[in-house]
Amino acid sequence: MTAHTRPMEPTGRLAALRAAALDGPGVTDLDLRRAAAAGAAPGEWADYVRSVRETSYRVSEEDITALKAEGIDEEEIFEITVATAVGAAFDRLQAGLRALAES
Amino acid sequence: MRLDVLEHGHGRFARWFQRIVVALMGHEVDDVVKTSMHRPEFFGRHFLAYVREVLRGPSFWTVAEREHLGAVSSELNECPFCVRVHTETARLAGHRDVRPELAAVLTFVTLLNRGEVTPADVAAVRAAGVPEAALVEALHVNAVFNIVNRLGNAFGWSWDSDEHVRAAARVIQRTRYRLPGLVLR
Repeated sequence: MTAHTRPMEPTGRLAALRAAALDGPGVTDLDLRRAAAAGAAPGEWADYVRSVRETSYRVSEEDITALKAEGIDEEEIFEITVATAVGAAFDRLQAGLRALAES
Repeated sequence: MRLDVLEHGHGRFARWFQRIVVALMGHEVDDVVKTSMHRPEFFGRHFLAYVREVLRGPSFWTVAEREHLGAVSSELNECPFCVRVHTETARLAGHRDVRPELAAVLTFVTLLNRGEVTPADVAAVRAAGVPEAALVEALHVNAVFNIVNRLGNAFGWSWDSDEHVRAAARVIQRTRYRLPGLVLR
């Protein structure tokens, strides 16, 4: 283990997770998943994705019910929630790495 | 959980695994595991591989320090489900005092989760004696929890009791975040 090569391993694992959730087979469009990962999904997803990204502790049973009332099914909610969470975490990681690179 | 597919949408091996856990341990598989076993090719298999690497792979930080950092990230993201179990896993791993290097990284991660960090904040971490690679490792621990905290809050993960939390923490301690390969196929 060296100081320089060691952090590549987590990076590779995270890349595999992002590839599966954002680019892999699923029931939702890739564009929608990528938008969710960036925190800015359109239409009926907008409020939910923003909540999961910014204030996930406020997400409630009613939010899920509201999505279902729009005709969205559980697999779609599963995928978009995962995409949003992975995207938010990735962006936060990048923000930390950017500060490190600039220091 | 708020999605029925996470509660019941599992393959044959995952269903067997859940029945065995209930029979042997007297409590249900926790909601993280249930979520990870739902369509594992989409999320769980890759997520758990990342978790194992970050929380149990070689690192500047001890297992206890990484678990403590996870509990702190979970607190910042207001995920009580994760705070409960990772406070317990940190305790089981022998977490006691926070050494200055960890304190500096906890400050950095707090700033990061609350808004933004600057190169000056990185300088403070370096001044505490934290190598660059160790800061990167800590950022990955924080990333793991930024994923899982959001899922826990959005999907409505919960514990049945304090004993359920302690039992899950003991399983994590023993298995190092490993699940039987078949349940993640």
